[in-house]
Amino acid sequence: MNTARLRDAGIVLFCVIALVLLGQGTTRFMLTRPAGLRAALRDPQASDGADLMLLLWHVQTPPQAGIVELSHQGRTVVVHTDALSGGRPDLDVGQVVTVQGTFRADDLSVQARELVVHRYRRVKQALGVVGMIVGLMALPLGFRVAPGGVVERG
Amino acid sequence: MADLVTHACLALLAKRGQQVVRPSQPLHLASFVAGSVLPDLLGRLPVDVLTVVQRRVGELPPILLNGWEPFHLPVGMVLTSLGLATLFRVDQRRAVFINLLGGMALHLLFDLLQDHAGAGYLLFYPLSTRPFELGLLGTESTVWWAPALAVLTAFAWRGSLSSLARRAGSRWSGRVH
Repeated sequence: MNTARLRDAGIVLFCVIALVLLGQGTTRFMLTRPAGLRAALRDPQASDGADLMLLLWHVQTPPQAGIVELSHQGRTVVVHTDALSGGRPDLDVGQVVTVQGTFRADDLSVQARELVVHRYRRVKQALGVVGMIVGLMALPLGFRVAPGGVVERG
Repeated sequence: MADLVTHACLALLAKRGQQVVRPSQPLHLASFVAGSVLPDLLGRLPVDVLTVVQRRVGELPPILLNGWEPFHLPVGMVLTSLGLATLFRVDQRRAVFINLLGGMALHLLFDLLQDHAGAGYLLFYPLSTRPFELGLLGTESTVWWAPALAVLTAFAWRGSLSSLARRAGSRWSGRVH
């Protein structure tokens, strides 16, 4: 392997290692940050009444009597929706919602103050899939592999 | 994040603008558009896929669900552009790096316009973990623009699209005969 190739491999390796380390850092931040549901569950009594937000959580079970169960990345939480200003929302299982509310230490749940239903989340995801398919199809139009490395066309 | 169609269309329109204003300047369209969609493809798509996997197979290590975030942050964008540009032929690396990073910057700029109820993006990570966003657009508002933006983009690039279609057509008829 010549010096230039060795240097290139070193740069790519440096970028990969740095990205992995940054990924470890963001993971640690997400798991230990002093606000949010995880922090509240770590010390429920101290977090009783604390403001928190559940961003883009999925409705897990059909809402019953002002209670709905939400899930996000394998975690679940019960949310009380009876105190919402606009009344109890009409929710379906699988819908994506964002909740702002307060933590309740007595039953480790969330009392919702505001609830936004992301009704067009699936359409947005579908557009993402369309974009990805078109992008993959167009990839050979934009790039080709040559002996000296990847080449951008045009 | 806005949807990929919106991001790609905005990048294509930005490059069309560059072509009009500075026709002599090399375009590097592919790397700019790739840069505009990579933050979501590398930073969001794996999370969506692995969340579905987790639902089926059980709990995954937290880094598999949270470790992709740097691809959507400025520091990760610089590293990703640098790493990818190094894979290109030496004479193109500088331009590819600049255009990949430019596309990613456009992506982030547009995402910052959105409202995630204050959750925002960790723009200065790892120096700061303070989230930032401008909160001017709803997270799904681009769903309504995307089709119109796609039509506008196709119109702006109609010349290239028709020559592409002609080339594909002649290649196809060559295969048939």
